[in-house]
Amino acid sequence: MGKELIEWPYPIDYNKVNIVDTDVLVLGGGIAGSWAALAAIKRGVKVTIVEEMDIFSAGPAGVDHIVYALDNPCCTISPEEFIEGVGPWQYWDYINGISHYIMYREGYDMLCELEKMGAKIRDTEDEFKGAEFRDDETKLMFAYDYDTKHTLRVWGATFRPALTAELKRQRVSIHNRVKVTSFLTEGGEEGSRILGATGINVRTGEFYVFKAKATVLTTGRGGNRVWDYRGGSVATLPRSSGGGLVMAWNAGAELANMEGRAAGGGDPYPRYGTGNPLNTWYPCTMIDAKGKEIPYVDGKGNILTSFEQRVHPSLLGQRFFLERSYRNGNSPVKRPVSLCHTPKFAEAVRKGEYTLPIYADLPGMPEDERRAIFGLMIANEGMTWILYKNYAEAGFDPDKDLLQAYSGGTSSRYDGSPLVGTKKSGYRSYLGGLVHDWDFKTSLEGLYAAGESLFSVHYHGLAAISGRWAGAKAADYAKDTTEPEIFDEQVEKERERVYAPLNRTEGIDWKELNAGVSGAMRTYGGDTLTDEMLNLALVWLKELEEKEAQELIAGSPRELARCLQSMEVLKLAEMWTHAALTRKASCRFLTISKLEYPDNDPPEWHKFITIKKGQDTVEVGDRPLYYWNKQPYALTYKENYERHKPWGKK
Amino acid sequence: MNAKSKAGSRGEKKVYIAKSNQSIIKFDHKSCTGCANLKEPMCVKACRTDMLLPNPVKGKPPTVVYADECCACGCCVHACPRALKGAITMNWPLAMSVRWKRKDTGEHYRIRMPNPPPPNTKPPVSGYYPKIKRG
Repeated sequence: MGKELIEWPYPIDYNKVNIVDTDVLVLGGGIAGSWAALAAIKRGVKVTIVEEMDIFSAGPAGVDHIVYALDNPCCTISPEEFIEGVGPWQYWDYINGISHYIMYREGYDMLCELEKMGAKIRDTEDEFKGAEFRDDETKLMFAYDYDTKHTLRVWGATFRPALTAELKRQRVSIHNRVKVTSFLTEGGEEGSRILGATGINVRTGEFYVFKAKATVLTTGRGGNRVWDYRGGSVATLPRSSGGGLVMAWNAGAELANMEGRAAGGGDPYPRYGTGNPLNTWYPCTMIDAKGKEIPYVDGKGNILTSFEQRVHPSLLGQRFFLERSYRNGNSPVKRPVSLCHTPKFAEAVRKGEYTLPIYADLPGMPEDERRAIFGLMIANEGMTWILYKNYAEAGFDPDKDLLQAYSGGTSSRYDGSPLVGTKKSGYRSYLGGLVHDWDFKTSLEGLYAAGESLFSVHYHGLAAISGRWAGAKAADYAKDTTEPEIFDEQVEKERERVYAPLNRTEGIDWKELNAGVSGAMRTYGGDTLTDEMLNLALVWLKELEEKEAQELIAGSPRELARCLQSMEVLKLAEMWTHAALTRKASCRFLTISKLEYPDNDPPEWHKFITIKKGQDTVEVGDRPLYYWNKQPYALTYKENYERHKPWGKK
Repeated sequence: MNAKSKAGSRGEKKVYIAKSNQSIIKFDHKSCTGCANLKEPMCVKACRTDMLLPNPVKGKPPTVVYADECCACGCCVHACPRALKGAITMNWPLAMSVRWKRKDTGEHYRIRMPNPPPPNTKPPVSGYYPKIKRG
């Protein structure tokens, strides 16, 4: 079928160089970036935010629940009790304790600040009056654990618009449609102070030089494309390239957890759009194809007999439930889970006790719960507003219909053999990010990080909380430091690199390079890893970098940006492989399974692996888990928090 | 490479892009105003993969390019001031067309099915566009 050609509507100028001077430069306009910019500008410095797309819809466009806002007035558990209750166990050991602890202390405070900007965090219209999960005095609504009330159900679709409006109101200088490409460093040296960044406009192709006294990196960690077995682009977002981490790597920053990965990577079924009683859908009732209820089980595998037990830890003799602790074998505070998400379910199906496929029984749920899950949470989660609309228009009615679940039978993301639906569609880089201190300052002078640029899990609340803190710290640093002096040669070298794909008349396009990286990783970075195979992956990736990446061609600014992203994906795969090679052990939490080292997380490898770029080599290192509560820091969360918090009474 | 360059009348390079024939994003030419009074149509602004281009004719719907890069996030529909009037719709990707079953009749349905059931007109809690109210 012939295709009509239309003219590119934006004025192209590859020769133009824009110089932008600022005090604090925020890279990435998502949740962490927006909060960083707002916190910085409040301290009276000049703030510039750079976003590859448009801050209007950057980062997640919504959120449906905020976990661990322990400072909310209804919460009955203190941060210290919470930490003690969780205790040391594998999942918790590898998380980012700094951002988590700040979340426990300031999560609700952050939400209240957001509420002042116009966001809706409580049931002000009394739409859930009398519901068990609602506090009628504060009108706050809770999820998972109705006893300790640490997690809030929110109208998150209002968050992004409120932040966007506030950024404009506070006169933050906003550069939309600019993809950042590299950091500028003192003297052009790796490992020296960060003095800003370079970028290109993805519509006009113009070049940007951002000079800054302090920089906050908040870009996404990427990886959706790295191992996507389908080679398709459903659920592939710009954030998937992990470009910010690659920039930090090239500038000589230290990264941790880079070997972490997760199964998935653009699952063909919409997230939260099938009836899985995981996070957003908890505690939905599940039934089999014949209408037989699939029970929930407690942490010991005992069948729960009432709905109430799913949401009241006290009924099970527990102090509290976490958000998703059922996934991890040794958690002391397991949340109940539907039997369909345990390995026992597969056994029961084989014995004929249940009939596939399985469904979420929204009509069988209490009315308030059904409305909270589908009417509130699905309609407010970033990826699922459209899902609510399209499902409703297609006739789906949560009062009458059973929504099919597509992952029943898996016990966790570690388990690769679901009974229904999809096999793993690949892996994505997950959990890797910059090493930082209690100020969110990275190993490089002048560079702060927040949100997904930090190591370990970072969802909406943690992105907001770390962004706010890092922005304040960066502003304080900027006030106290010298003017940056840009090293012109570094800028010129980067311009040459960035525009190279435009100057070739023959070559390969970015999708071909992405497919090549995916091919290498699929072959040598699959379910089971060996050192020999990982070394071969490095050889293959190096070849791609030296040959095919030098043959990329682009015909428009947009294609140029995609070429740069595909080179980032390539580098991210290389960074993952280096880290995976370094860890001579398997680790379930990091989804690393090694043939030569089958023991899961043995004591000598129970630590963070760090990597950074050296002269022609990779410098590997390690850090103890909980390094943030060891020398040179104070020994407790509380003391570190008090010592470092950038504000007075919060 | 999708984009083609050729020399323009004044010697500067012009870039041409192939319009997509795929219908993942559809505009209703009657109700879409191309956000006539705005610098940029809202859906074009919101698009997270930059696969929509503004129409050179003011007031006309944007053009879909690079349709295969659509990530089905729905931001374009969410941003549209006339989405509920059908100005823009997203055709749910076939690979993501989940199925459901009516509990009392056992009938099976899916997104985008032929002869679909009547739509469920119930809006989300607080409506499709909860208000932003500055405190």
